[in-house]
Amino acid sequence: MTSAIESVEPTPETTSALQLTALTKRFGATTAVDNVSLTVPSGSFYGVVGPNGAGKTTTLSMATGLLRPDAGTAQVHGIDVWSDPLAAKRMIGNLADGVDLFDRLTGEQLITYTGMLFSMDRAVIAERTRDLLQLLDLEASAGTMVADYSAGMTKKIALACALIHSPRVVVLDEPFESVDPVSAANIRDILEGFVRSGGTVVVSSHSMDLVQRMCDHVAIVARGQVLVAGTVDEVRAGATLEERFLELVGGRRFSEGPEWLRRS
Amino acid sequence: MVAALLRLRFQVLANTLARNTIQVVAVVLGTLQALVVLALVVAGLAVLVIYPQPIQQATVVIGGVALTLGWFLIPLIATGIEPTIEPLKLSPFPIPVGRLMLAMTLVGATWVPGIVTFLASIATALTWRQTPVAAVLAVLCGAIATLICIVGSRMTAALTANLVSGRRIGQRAVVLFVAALVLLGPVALAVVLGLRTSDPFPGTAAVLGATPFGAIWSVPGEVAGGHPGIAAVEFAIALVALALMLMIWRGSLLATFGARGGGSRAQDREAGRLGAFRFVPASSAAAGAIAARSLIYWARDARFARQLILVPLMPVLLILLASLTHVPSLVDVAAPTVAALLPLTLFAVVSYDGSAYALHLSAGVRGVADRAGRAAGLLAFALPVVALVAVVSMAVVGTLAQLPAVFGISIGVLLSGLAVVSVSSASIVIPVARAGGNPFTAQAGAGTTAIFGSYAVTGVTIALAIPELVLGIVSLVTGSALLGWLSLAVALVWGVASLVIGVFVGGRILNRTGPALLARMRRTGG
Repeated sequence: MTSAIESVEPTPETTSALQLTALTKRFGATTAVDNVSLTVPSGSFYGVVGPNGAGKTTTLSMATGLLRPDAGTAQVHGIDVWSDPLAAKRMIGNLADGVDLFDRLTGEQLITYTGMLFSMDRAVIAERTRDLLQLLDLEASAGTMVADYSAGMTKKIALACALIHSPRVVVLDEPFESVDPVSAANIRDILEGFVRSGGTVVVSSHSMDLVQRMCDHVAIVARGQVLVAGTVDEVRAGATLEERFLELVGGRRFSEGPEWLRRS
Repeated sequence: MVAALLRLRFQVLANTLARNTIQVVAVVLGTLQALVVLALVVAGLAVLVIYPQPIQQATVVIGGVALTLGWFLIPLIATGIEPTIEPLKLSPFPIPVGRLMLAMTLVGATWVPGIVTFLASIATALTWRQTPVAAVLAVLCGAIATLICIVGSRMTAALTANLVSGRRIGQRAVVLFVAALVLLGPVALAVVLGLRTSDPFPGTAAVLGATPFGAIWSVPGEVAGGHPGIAAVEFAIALVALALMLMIWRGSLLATFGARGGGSRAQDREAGRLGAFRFVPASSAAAGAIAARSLIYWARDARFARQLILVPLMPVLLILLASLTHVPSLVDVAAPTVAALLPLTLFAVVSYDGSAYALHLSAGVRGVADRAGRAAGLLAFALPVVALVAVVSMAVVGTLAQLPAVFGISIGVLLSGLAVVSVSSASIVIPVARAGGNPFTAQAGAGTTAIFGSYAVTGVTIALAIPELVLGIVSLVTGSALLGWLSLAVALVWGVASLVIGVFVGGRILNRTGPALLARMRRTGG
């Protein structure tokens, strides 16, 4: 099997895979992302963790060319996402959170459509679509409309769309949300194989355990700022990632909830 | 609780408007336009007092039926005509369905179309002011007529929503078309019967007065004309019709609640069915793929399929009208109208992608490819459909000799329309129902934006198509075959040229506005 993912050549890289510099985004009076700078080394498996509303999705949207930053730059392997979007986007595989898919298409049609949007060769699209459907265990439902997929299957088909053009950097916003444990393990294998072959993966997640086990680098963001970033071992500094996260982000409440919500 | 629902609806409206200045302008312009129409109607009704009773009666009844039919049919052909309380979203709350219906009726009555309808309806009292009893009755009947309009429109919206909310749209579109015909049936029959009488205008009004749509409008006039017995019967017809509509609406709402959530799991299907994507030429890259996807969506997405109801309805109505009035050239209008309406449906087409448009951005699709693909997707079926409508309708009436001119006008309008929407949809986002959502769901504030957007698009389209329009119309009037062919030639050359320009200009705009469009669609939750 020639996989879509393994065809990435491990190239010696002087630039970082993703370089965010002073990214800022305001929505009205609120500053969603405040002067965020982040360096994702080439070939790393980078986790971005943060509480709800921390600005993870906004940051990743600006990094992948979906949302224009108010200030700052995003570079993919040295190419600016906002001044040369076409070249940059060819290198990015993007699974955005909170966006719909063209769900009136079947799974197979959606992957094919994505490939065609990248102007890929028809035979290559067909071959990679087969591989991806098999890898993600979606073969049985390939001809079913994506609208009829479960939440987990929808995530998987979106992941397939992010990988079809054999990107060098894969940016995944909440890829494991509502994905069953078996599929999550399969996806992890795929991503780890991708990193071993020289690719770069950036994931955002709520699952500290997962990030600690899977990633080699991690950044903790909150209130639109990067609190700490580095290798996982540096960041957790002896404790678990979850302990460090709670310590840095705060907001943990020690209470049993309001009295009227208790049943015994 | 009803008051809370009303507050909620105005809060939603205020929040939507606060976020979007263009929509505020649209709402203000829409209100102004409605007020102008209202002033004209009121003045007309007041002047009508000097005419003899049969003319007064005929004008009020026929006008009233047209207004009522408009309310009944608008939910079928337009989205978001009115911001409304969405029953499905409220279904988790313990709201009795009766209260919900009351709230939805009040919502209808407290926004521009409802208020204008009410004022125009009670203004019929001005026509009957020489017969005080009839004038007083006219106020009461006007209020009931408004109620019938609002309840009727809610009923058709609820019914059609149930019918088409699923994904397999084919048979449901047919059901919908038949439902529209059933609604129009009694009226068409009344018109046919009325036209056969010796005095067609009052004759038609008399027959319409016996239909559920016309009864309430006929009551004051019958009293003024000295037929209180007929008036009483018509009043009864109207009340029974209103009661029936309320029952159907109630049943339909209950069915909607029951159907929620437990969606049937579709059967698994294996790979190997690429559909329209198989025919995408290898050289066309992204544009071809987008064209193929558009075609698939026209077939599978209820929001697009809804727009197609008009395609068969238009020629049928015009053929009917042409044969009734013995003016065969009315049929010439069918194909150009369909040709004008089809591109109009795309004037904010990116809105229909919703946040799925992110895929186009992620893939770095060039604006030009996006525009060209969508235009090609529409042309692929719009051209045959328009040609078919022209040939069939004109063959039925026997005016095939005028085909070149009608083709010229239709193709010209189609191509210029596409040119205009290629530009407009690169910058306009309107809140629309989500894919898979109920296509008849009204989105707060969308109605007026959509209506004014459509006006603007139509205006520019007509301006662009002036050369072939003038040639075609002169040909139709003079019967000159040469001018007809000339119109077709101009339409092809000039139309294609404007489309190419539209695609390039729209593409350039989209390159710039793409991320902003996506940001707005993510925020409108679409």
